[in-house]
Amino acid sequence: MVNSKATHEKKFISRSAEKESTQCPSLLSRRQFVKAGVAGVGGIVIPSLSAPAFAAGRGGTLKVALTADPISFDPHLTGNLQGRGAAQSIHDTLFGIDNKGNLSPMLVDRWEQPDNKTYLLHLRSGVKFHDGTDFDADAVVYNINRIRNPETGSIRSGEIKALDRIEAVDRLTVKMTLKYPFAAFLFPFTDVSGCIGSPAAFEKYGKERANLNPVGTGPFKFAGYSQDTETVLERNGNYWDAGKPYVDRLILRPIPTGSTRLIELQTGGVDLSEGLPLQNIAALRTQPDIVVSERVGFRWEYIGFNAKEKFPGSNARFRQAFQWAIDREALHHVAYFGTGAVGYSGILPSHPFHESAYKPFTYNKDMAGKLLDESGLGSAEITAYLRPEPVKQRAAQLVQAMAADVGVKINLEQLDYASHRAKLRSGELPMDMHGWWGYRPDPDQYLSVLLGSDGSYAKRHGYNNPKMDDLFRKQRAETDRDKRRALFRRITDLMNEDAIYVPWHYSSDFKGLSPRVKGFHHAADAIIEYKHISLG
Amino acid sequence: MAGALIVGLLLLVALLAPVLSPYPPDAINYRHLLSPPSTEHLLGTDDLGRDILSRLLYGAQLSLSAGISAVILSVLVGVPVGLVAGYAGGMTDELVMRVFDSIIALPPLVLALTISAVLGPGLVNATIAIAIVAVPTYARLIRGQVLSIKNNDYILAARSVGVSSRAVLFRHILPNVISPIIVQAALGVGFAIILESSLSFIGLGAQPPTSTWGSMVQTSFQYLELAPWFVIAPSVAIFVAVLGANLLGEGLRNFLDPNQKKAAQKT
Repeated sequence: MVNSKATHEKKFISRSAEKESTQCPSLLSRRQFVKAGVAGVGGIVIPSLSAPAFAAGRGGTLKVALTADPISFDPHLTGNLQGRGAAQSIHDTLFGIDNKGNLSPMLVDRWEQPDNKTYLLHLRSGVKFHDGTDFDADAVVYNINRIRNPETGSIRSGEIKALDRIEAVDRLTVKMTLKYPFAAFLFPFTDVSGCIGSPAAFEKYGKERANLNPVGTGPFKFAGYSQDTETVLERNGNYWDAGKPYVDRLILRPIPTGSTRLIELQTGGVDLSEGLPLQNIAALRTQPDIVVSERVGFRWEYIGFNAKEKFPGSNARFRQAFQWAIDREALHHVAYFGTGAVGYSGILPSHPFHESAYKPFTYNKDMAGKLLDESGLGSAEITAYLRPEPVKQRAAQLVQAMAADVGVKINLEQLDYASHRAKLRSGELPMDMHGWWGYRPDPDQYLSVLLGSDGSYAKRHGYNNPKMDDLFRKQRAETDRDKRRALFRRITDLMNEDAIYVPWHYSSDFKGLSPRVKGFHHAADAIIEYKHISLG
Repeated sequence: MAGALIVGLLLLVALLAPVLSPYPPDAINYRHLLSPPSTEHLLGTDDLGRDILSRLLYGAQLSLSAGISAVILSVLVGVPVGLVAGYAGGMTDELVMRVFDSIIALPPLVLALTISAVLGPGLVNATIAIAIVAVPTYARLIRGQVLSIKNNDYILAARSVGVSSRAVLFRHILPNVISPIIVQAALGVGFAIILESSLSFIGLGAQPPTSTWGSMVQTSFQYLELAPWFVIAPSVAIFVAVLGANLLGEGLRNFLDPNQKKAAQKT
């Protein structure tokens, strides 16, 4: 199978050579599509998924505008989306994820589950780290134990806390034993928790210097970094997935201002840009020289309440009133300029558990007024702190106006990011417009943080419901997908009833591409898989 | 006097904002987001579909009153302190002036930013911060004036007949040194408006949905290429107000300065 794939790739390479000799690459690449049998896609191509079904040319430098600096390349210590993205192009993950949200092979070739607390992972053979050492079961055990070691201080240790023991059975087999059955256990290994770095390099550089000396098995090697300016990654010529990656070099440039990123894309300073400004999306879609790629269901927005006694949010009726008091449609238009979708749950539309028909609330001021009457709070007043984020500022002002309509006064106060985070972490936000940032392959990965009584967000919001904890225990032990789906529906219902989080929107992730960029696949978690990308 | 005319007109517009505004400043209309100027909305609408003209007029009330009250506050503190320091001399003078020197050593915006960050965001706190930053200017100015006249014969005469220090300060010295303060105050209003706008631009000034010119610039900035009218309107307002305050200050200087008046008469 591997062999046939290799010849397949070779064919692509010869095609691209043919293409490079021409004066008019865009036309020819279009012709190539027809040749390659991809009909009906049109001039603008947002290629779908996994293996690109068109001629992928080799070579070139892909320049990318990021919204923030990756800061650290140590997969177990990096924090933001950009750091995760860069770490994943240097280190392969144990598992991939397919378009349906299922696990797919990566460094793990195949896997089995002898019982509901044991996993056997059979690793891909012949894989080498960038420093020439072999990738094997010992390396996997070393990496997972590095995450679990409190001295490492990895924020990822929480997501694999169900793991009891990990051992190397033989050179290419790893056995993991859990403390309790957990259906979503393997999903974190599709992200940085599953990134395997060279144990020799981790030993050599230590915790302090590993962040700028990453050594993985991935498609790209770390070649240079200048903080807040650029990160340079170079092609790994010995990559196990033969033929990939296609580009010789990746340059990642952090550009915090949305309009500046857009100008860079329009003028050819970058070939690919993260986070297009939402207000420009509609206009950009009509422009031929920029491809707008949208992935629905990247994050969800909620209005959060604090249930601690001193805050008005301790009153359940008061919180429930907001389910009816907000006009989600209006919020969708104002805060998101009509991009993304109105939302009523924490299960994102890109997830198989999502129910698109689930709409338990409407915009109903009478209903909100009735609940507020029942709350007995009279004319309530609450303070909401705001981060300097345009989306939240628009949303908050609209929510403020809608709440005023039903007799609740919201005082808005702007805070910088650091103070906002400090207030959130100390559990001192009476009301927030926080929302959940970023897609995770399994909803347990974030809903347990928000709703489980031991979850950090639940604690910050003063939320603790034994019925909710019970539902979480049940869905974790459940291996049947349909039954888990049903349990998540019950979790959603209870979440909406308790209304600590009032959901209102699913937002899309937008990326802008130059038409030169081929093979781009817009992943649900917004992380770019550079190894599939080639330049036309 | 163009300055007086501009400032007077702005004050009038601010006072009449409730009458002149075609819409309530906080009325959200999400069907008309960022719409360009039209007969319905003379200056267009903002990102929440609110009428920019109405927000500009109501913003004038806050921006101007923040600027003016900051100046009044700093004059009320700075003038007495400067008077006393200059008149008393010695250790008192040294102490007060070294404190003010250290305040002046810091860039005004950085200092105002620090103070309002400590006090917490809000228009009142921003005004206080601006006032604190401006106090040394007035205190030093008046101290210099006091030093230059405190040994004049009429002061010495008053003191020698036993007039109390307070009466000497406020009845004999103050009226003779106040004119540069008036000029400085007029110029200071322009400076205060810019500082308030800067603080609001950073988010430390007026909190949403309240609009000041500075916070309007902050919001509109991100739509620069999409809705230029949104950023132009408050920016022009700030420009005109500051220009007016400066012209007024210069006009007052010409009017109050006896040397310049004589010079003007000669030519």
